[in-house]
Amino acid sequence: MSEERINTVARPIIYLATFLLIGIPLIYPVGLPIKVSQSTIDFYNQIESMPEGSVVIMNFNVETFGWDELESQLVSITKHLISRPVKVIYVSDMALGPAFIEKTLKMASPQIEKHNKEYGQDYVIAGYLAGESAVAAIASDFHKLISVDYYGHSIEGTFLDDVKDGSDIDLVISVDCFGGTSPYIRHFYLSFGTPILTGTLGGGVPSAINNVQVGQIKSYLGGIPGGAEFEYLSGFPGVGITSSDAMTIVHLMGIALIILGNIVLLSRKIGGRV
Amino acid sequence: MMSFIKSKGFSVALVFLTSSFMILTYFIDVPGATQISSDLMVWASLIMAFSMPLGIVNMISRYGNKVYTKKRNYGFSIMLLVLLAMTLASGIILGDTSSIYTFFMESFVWPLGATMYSILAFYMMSANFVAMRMRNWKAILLVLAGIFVLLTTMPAGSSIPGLTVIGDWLKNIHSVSVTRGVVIGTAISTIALGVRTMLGFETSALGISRGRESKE
Repeated sequence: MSEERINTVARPIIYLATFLLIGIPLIYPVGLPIKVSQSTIDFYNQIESMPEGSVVIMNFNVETFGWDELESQLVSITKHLISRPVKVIYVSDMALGPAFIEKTLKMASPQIEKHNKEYGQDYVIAGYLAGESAVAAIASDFHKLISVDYYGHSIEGTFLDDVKDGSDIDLVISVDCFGGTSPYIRHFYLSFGTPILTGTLGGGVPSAINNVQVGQIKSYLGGIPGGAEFEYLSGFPGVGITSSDAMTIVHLMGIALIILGNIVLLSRKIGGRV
Repeated sequence: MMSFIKSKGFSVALVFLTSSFMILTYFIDVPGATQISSDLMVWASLIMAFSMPLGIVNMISRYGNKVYTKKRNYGFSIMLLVLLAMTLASGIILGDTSSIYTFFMESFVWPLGATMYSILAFYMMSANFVAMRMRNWKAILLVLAGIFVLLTTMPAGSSIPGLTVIGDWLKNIHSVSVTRGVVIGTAISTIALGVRTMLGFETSALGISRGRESKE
């Protein structure tokens, strides 16, 4: 059998195995161990250390394709923020982002009720910020760009009355699909020294580590493992911990497939067919 | 008058003056100027928001043309335009918090977006078997690095003794040094591009094509 033929035969089997090995642990979690990394501990401690009444910007740099990987981070961070005595401005620099803010807050509604959080006094959905210029504009003069919330209601009379510019923001958290943290580094950290936390897809981790090392951001969460660790640490278990089992198993399957592919190559070499 | 406004010289002068002003007010606190720069940033944000309707017009023109000329698979273009019109109408008429708009988002947009992303997992698994074969020493390095990355990025990987130490060393030293090189290189290139645009050497950002430029 030619190598091409082996690959063609193996492909549907691999697809089926991938489907089963992701699907089964999602339905029946195995409970594989999770070790909380230092970056997640630093991330958690930064939120914990915010004094009462602090104003936090939470940016949802999320589109449909990144939601599944970032859901655990977004939901657990939101739940944790709700459990803290801080005020949160939810924004998004992606057009579909505000819909994900609503979805996340709906998922966190038991916490909102438990901690008696009130829309307008404890949190506001400011909505869509169109690009870096909008981030620069709210850092320069918040009310010049934003006069109404996502629902079109005036923000007058809310806690945002006390937010004039970037100097009134005590923490920025940006969970990113497409590098949404960079504008906040440029217009909040560099201008006002605002501490910044970021959540990224797995592929964004090296860039986040770089920003942490130079002090531009305080800490980061990386992909599903970061979300799962934060869920565990903050005490809000969710989809991250459940997905962790599937992710570990499918990673091991990846390694097994690499080994198997090389056994095929080796056996063909021994057989003199390569 | 109109030809003067449309001229390359006017566009370049406008870009030069505006960007110089914004750069200066970022670094130097000039009384009164901060207010103007703040206004300009709000303008820029509003102009950015106009890219949405522009995108819609572009899509209608592109896919409408496909349907009109009955190009291959034009049925998909019809489907796209119908769904676009329905989502747009429900969002504009009923509002983007209405149940119908939410239905479109939750039933079409979100699952399709998630599906596109999830399909990658199947391709990656297949690639592990098909492509990651140690045919030469470069491939051996690639395969070993691949196995190591898989081990260190899986959630339970941190529980394997020693793996975290080596993984952190690779991530914090090697991976970050490469990332830093890319970031610094990109930043320098961005500055160079900005200077070229300000001085009128780079006109594509102004919507002036090379053909039009040479005519002028």
